[in-house]
Amino acid sequence: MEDNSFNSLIPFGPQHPVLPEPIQIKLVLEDEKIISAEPAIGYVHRGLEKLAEKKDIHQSIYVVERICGICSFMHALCYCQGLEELTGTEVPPRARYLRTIWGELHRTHSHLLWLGLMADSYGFESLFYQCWRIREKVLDIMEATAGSRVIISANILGGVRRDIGPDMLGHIQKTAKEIADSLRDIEKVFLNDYTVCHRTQGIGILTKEEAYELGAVGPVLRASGVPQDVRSLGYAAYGELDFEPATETAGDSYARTKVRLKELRNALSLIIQAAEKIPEGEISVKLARKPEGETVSRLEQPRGECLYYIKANGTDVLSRVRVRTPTFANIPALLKMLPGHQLSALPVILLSIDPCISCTER
Amino acid sequence: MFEFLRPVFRNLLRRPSTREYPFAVREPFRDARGHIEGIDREKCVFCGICAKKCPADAIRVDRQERVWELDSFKCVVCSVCAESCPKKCISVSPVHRAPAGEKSRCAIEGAKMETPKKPAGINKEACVFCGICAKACPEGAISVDRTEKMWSLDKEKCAGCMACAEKCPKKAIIAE
Repeated sequence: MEDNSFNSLIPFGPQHPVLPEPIQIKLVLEDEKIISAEPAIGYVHRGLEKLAEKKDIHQSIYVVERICGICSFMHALCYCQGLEELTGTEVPPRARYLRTIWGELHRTHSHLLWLGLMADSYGFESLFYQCWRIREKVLDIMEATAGSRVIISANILGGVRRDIGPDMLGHIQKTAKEIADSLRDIEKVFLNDYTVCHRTQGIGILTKEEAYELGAVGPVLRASGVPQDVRSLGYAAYGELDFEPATETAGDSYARTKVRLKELRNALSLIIQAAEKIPEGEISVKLARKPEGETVSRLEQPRGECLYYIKANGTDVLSRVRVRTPTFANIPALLKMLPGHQLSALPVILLSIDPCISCTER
Repeated sequence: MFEFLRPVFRNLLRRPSTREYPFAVREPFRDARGHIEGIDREKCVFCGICAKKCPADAIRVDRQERVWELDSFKCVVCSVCAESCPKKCISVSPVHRAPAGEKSRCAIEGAKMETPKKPAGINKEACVFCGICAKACPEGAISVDRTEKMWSLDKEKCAGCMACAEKCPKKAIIAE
């Protein structure tokens, strides 16, 4: 008998109760312990990068927005910022603030969604519903301000499509405070509850060096102690608002939960600040000229740093759009976290990177 | 230890957060994009700008036959058509489209009228070269040089919506 004959190969996914989207992880197990893991992706590839080369630059906003069903606004923003840079267009200040407000609303609803899914991954169904109940308030704001719940189509090249009136800004501030209040209850459960801590503490540890070397991004990187946040570059209105990247040092699933809880608080504070400071004025301008040349546009999505490479040729149709999404960058880190853990810990570790497969495969 | 007890007791005393759908339906938000209802057939000039701007290729406009057609199953309800319409004749309803058993199209035939117009030139005596027509043109087909007193039209780009003629303060634009 060969040495490794007691090892078993288990396919995890592409369909699994814990997975909202299809990804397969091929696991080599020794009894119940994970020895190695190998991902297989490609189940939801839709060819959106190619489609963005077929449509004109204005239509492509609605194409890139559909890369992700959660952080769609951020995709459109990253694309628009890239093209605004290529055309040398100065976005009006009010539009930059509105983009920040919608961006942070997206972060809030994405993190609340993730907290729910995380609770679901260790079987805490009622906590899952508590998180999603709070999230509903954010979605209502988005529908009232931009017209849709998630894919809000608020960005255009050179600004935003809709303005938010003073009454609505007041309502947004009030709701952000309400959400911050209702977060207090669920925060305690995620951080102090015995069973929750048992499932997350010490599970899926990623050291600072590993996180950096494997190119992890977003909350995964920050939970390992690297204070890297693209928002610090000050795109949109972030340069004029007060915020600190949330970091933790433990690098386990518990630290990643904690980082996202802190980011939720940060996002709500940013929404309140932006709604207070928002200047009057125009909400959009026309592009200064046709785009020409190439650029890399970056921004911080709820899951981490997103990167758009855009190549334009002086016409209305782009030569190339390439998207590097945060989940793609976090998959190597995920594979590093898995070995040595029990099979039952896999859902928690997998969910702790907040995987967005449709983003990854585009 | 028993951190979840507080939300549990509070939820016991509170009314449910959910509605008894479909018996209780929430009022739609005023500016929500539910679905594209159709066009005002009296106002539409069948210029086809909506079809050109649609990112999902869901609209087909036949200028000769005067037919406007929407494939609601392709439509992503971005409402770019309604915003780009020079006549503002496309209506967006805040209510979502009802579920359907089979695919259908929304085809609207326009009211019959005289042959479609297109701007041909300007009355040089009336025109003050203010440039309002160029700003009003949704396709950017008109260019006006105030200093040189030049007015030119790109016939390839022109969709024939006549927004220029409507906005012209001197009524100087001559139709074909």
